[in-house]
This record gives sequence, structure tokens and C-alpha cells, in this order.
Amino acid sequence: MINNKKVFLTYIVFFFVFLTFLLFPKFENRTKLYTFFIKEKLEKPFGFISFKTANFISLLESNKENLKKISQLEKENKYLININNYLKTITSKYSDQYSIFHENYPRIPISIGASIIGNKNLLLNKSFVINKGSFNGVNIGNYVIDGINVVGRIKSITNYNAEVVTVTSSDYGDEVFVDNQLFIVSGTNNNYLSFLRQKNDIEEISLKKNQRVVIKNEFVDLALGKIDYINKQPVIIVPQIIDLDNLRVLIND
Amino acid sequence: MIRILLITLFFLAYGNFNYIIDSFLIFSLINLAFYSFLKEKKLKLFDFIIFISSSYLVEIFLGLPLFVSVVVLSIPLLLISYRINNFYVHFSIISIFIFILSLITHYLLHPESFIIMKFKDYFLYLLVFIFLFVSLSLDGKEQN
Repeated sequence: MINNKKVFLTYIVFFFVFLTFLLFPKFENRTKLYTFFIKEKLEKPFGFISFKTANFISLLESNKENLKKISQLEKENKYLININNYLKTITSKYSDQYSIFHENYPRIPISIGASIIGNKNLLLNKSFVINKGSFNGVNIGNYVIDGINVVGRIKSITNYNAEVVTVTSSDYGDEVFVDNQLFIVSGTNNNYLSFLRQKNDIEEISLKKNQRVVIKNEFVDLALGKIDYINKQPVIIVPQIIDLDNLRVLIND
Repeated sequence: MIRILLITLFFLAYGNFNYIIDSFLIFSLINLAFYSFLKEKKLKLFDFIIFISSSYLVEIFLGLPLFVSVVVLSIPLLLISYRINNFYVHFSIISIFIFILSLITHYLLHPESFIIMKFKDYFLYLLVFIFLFVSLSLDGKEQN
């Protein structure tokens, strides 16, 4: 150091800097702070690059793991498909039972039982009164049935009662199906109904005796009667034996 | 130039890794400072600046008063350098001497790291010794 003038001068300079820092610690602290500030600024790009690299590596690793998992799941899936096929083969003999119990299970329409409380003998106007009304879910137009035979339809209702017009009443009119052909029929106050007209009268009417006349309901086909001829005119003969003590009202038609 | 690069690298790396690496970086900086000061009989300005910068970083990182090592350590180091470089001593002995001197200085400045470090962590320090040995041998060839 003694031999080298520049080194000696540098030493002197740093000696005075050291003395200044010793006497004024504020400058020393500031210098330290600036150094760390520079360090932070210089670190930033490296930090960014290292963060990106670490992120990329972790992504690659996770991708590798995911691929492994996918291949494992594919194997598992294949194995399960094989097992499923095997089980399907084994249980195929029960498919008929399954279809009976699950697929073609008949949907039963919701109905409520009703009793006749007035005009039971059907003397007046071929209509009667039942003990169920709007509070029981009965609406105007609901079918009143005995088994699957239509007895009549609700004509008017109160809260607890309803008036039913029977199929034979002249107030009764409905759309019926005969061999998938739609007709409009009306009661005659006799034990038969007469055809008013065919709804789509493009085709020729071809009615045969004893053909079933049904009313298409949402769930079940209700039987109205059978075709017969009176004076060469087709009519619908309704069944005579109707149990009026076992009536039900379809409330979801 | 390599030393400047190393100092810059240590400056950036300090605090970004675990405690052992930080301790190792401090030790390497102390080693660099001693090596720059003691490698030749006649101290060059460049070596002196490297000594200042590496010791400055040690002071910054350990929270010592700034430039205390330049002012206080320079005199005894100058005497040691005079002693070492005036006798014909093999560079391996010089490297061992610098290594031990650095180790002692490191212990005096930051004894906590020696308490925390495990035995296997000292193998990193051996790396510094190897570098010291290699650089001294290369420097000797250069001088010849």
C-alpha cells in the first residue's frame, strides 16, 4: 500500500468516509438503505425469471402427474366398462322383469271416491249430485267413472258438492275415439248416444257393430260404450249395469 | 473480472436462499477480500477495490459499521501480506492460511452460523478452499 500511491489515496478517501459515517450515522444508514434499494431493483428481473421458471417447472410436473392420472383413470374406466358389460350380460335375463316394473309401469290417474247425495234415481234431467266439490280438487269437466266406464262429467261445482251430467243426458257431449277415428257425440236422454259428426270428415265413416268407443284421457282410455245401429243409424250403447255406489272422479284429466 | 462477477452474484443471491447458503456467501466474500489483499506482495488498486467492495458487502449484510474493515483491517493485513509474500512459501500453505484466517474472521463476525450449521454443511466451505487453491496456483503461474 505504501508503494502504491493510488491505493494509499483510496485508503485515505475511505478513511475519511469511515470517519464521516462514524460521526454522522444518518449518512451510514442512508447508504445502507440505498444499497439494499439497488439490490432489490437488481433482483427483480432475476426474481421474475426464477418465478416464471419455477412456475413452468411446476406446471410441467403437474402436467406429468395429470397425464399419469389420466392414463390410470383410463385403465380404470376400461376395467369398469368391462365389468359393466359382464354384469349387463349376467343381468340381461332380468331385463323383461325390469321393463315390467320400471319402463311400462302403468300410470294411474289420480281420482277420488264420491257418493251420490241427490237425484240418485236420475229422474230429473239425467244428472245427479255428488258429495265432492272444488275443495276436494274437483273441477268442471272432470270425468266421473265406475271402473273404466264413464258415467258422466262434472257440470257445475260448489265447495263441497258437484253436479254430474250423465253420458246419456242430452246435456252431455264429448269427443270419442272409434278405431282411432275422432267423433263428436251427444247424449239423447235415452240409453244411447248419437253421433253428431266426425271431427276430421275427410275419410268415410266406417263403423261396425260392437266396436269399442273410448274417450282418450291423459293416462287411461275410458270406455264409453259400444257401437250399435238403430234404424240403420249408428249409436253408442252405454252399459246398463253401472254401480252408482262406487263412483270416482278423475281429478287430473 | 471473475471476482467482480462473483461479488455481484453474491450481492444478488444473499437473502434469497436458506441460512446456510447466506452464511456460505458471507464466508466466500470474506475469503475474496483476504485473497485479494494477500495474494501479492505489492497491492494493486484493482485488488484493493475488490477488497473494499467485498468487505463492504459483508458489513452491509452483517450490519457492521461501513468501511470499518478497510480502515482497521488493512494495517494488520498489510503486515501479514508482507510476511507471507517475502518468504518463499508454497501456495497451498498460503491458501490454507487464508482459509483459516477467513474462517476465524467469519466466526468472530457471525458466530451464530457456526452454532446452527451441521457437520455436512461445512463441505460447502471446502469448495471455497478448492477455489482458493486453484486461483492461487493459477495466479502463481501468471506471475512466473
